[in-house]
Amino acid sequence: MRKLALPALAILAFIATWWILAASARSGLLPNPEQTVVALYQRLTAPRGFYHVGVTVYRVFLGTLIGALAGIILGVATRYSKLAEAAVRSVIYPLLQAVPTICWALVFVLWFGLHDTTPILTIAVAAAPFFLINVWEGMKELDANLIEMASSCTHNKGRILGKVILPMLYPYLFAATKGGFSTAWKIVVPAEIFGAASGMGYMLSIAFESYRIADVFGWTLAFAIIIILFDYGLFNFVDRRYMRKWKPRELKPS
Amino acid sequence: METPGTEALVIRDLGKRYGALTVLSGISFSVARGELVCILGPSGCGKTTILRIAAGLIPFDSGEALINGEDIGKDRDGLRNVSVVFQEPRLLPWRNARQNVRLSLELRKDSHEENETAEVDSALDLVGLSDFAGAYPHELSGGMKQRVALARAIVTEPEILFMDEPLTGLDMRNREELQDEIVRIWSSKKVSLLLVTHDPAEAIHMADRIIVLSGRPTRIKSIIEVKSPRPRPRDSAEVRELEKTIRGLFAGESIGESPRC
Repeated sequence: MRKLALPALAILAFIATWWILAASARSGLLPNPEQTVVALYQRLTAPRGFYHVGVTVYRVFLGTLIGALAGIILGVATRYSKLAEAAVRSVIYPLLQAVPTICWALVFVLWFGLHDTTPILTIAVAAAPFFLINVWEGMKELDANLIEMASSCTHNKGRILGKVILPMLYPYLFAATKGGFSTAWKIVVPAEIFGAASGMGYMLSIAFESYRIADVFGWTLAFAIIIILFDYGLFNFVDRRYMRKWKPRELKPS
Repeated sequence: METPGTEALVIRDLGKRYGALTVLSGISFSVARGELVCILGPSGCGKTTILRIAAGLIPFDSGEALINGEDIGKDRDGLRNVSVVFQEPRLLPWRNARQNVRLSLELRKDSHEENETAEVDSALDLVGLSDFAGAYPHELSGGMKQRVALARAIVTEPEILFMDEPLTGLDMRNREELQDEIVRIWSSKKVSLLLVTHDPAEAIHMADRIIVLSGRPTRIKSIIEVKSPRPRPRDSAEVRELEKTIRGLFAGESIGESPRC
């Protein structure tokens, strides 16, 4: 009970502060929590309300998946090819890191217009570096003893990769997935504002342009709730349930 | 090719350099089919290097290494039926004992048959770990982990087993137990076994022949045949005599005291 009491207290304090600020401001610029929740409820229950939530979730997942595949493939390649290592080190990773994601988003709008491809690719480009850097780092930390053991059984590199190397990377992939998704959820908002005609980010921009402040707060609240559920709920669950035995300290040869 | 007296492993005039440093030169010996040969030598003498070359894990610079008459350098598919047991168990922490043993079958081929479960279980049975098939490495003791590694090596029914100081990390009781167990498995499987050790008593207890190496530059000092029948007593006039002979070969050098080579 005590474990839950303090977080509950903190949340209540936050809501109370918000309410007091809204009441003292007495202007339409800061809706109170009740107005915000009501606005969100009305948006969601309106025709196609949940469609916008669904389409955003879909883009976040597909974009992160594409970014993950690209990052993992490039990261794995660094181990097997000196050329790939050089390309990742001096071109691909710096490019992904240095170019602001919003620039990618604008370029994709020019190329693909207001099409699903635009936010999905923007998210992919934002998520990919997390997978690339983690797999790349992981590849350097691999336990050489276990790989030698595997090489004493076969010369087939694919089998060694699948049975020994990739499983050794699980802790790194887990960290990458967490970082990748968290960035994806943040970048989906500008990506949909600039480059989509549907989704929660698009609805947010509509509310903004038509000066419906309660709606802006409502959609913002919706993002916050989804991201918190995602991060605290799903990832903590996966971590507790499955990731325990993959912790790096136990990945030492035994 | 199957002629009586064919050697399982032939090493001829083997040489190996690391840059300017020559670690091996002019090493020649052989292991007959079904023979148990120990390589004994002081720390840093390159005995592990010889074993790694013979097992095809590292390249060499000169000479010849043949398994069943075939150049080990030519076989790049890993179909050659040899297994290696290392100094550390090298188990995958995310697989239980049974899955770790199975790994060696999985790595060797793409497809898998139903009866593999029986092979895996019988290998675990042979090392006395049937009751621990579902246990993960962190739940097993050092001796048990090395038994799993042993089962992983024999599950493929290899023709030659290479062992690189497999008992070095273990306490005395486990070591002696596993020495007897390895001899028992070796004789029941009729496999050729090449075992590297720094412990003269271990070599005397287990080997048909002991290849005694010098410190750097590495040469073969002597090849000693151990004729006493098995099971061998741990302490007898013959054992003491052999140990004296071996220690005599290392007058002034340390042998058997250092924990690793």
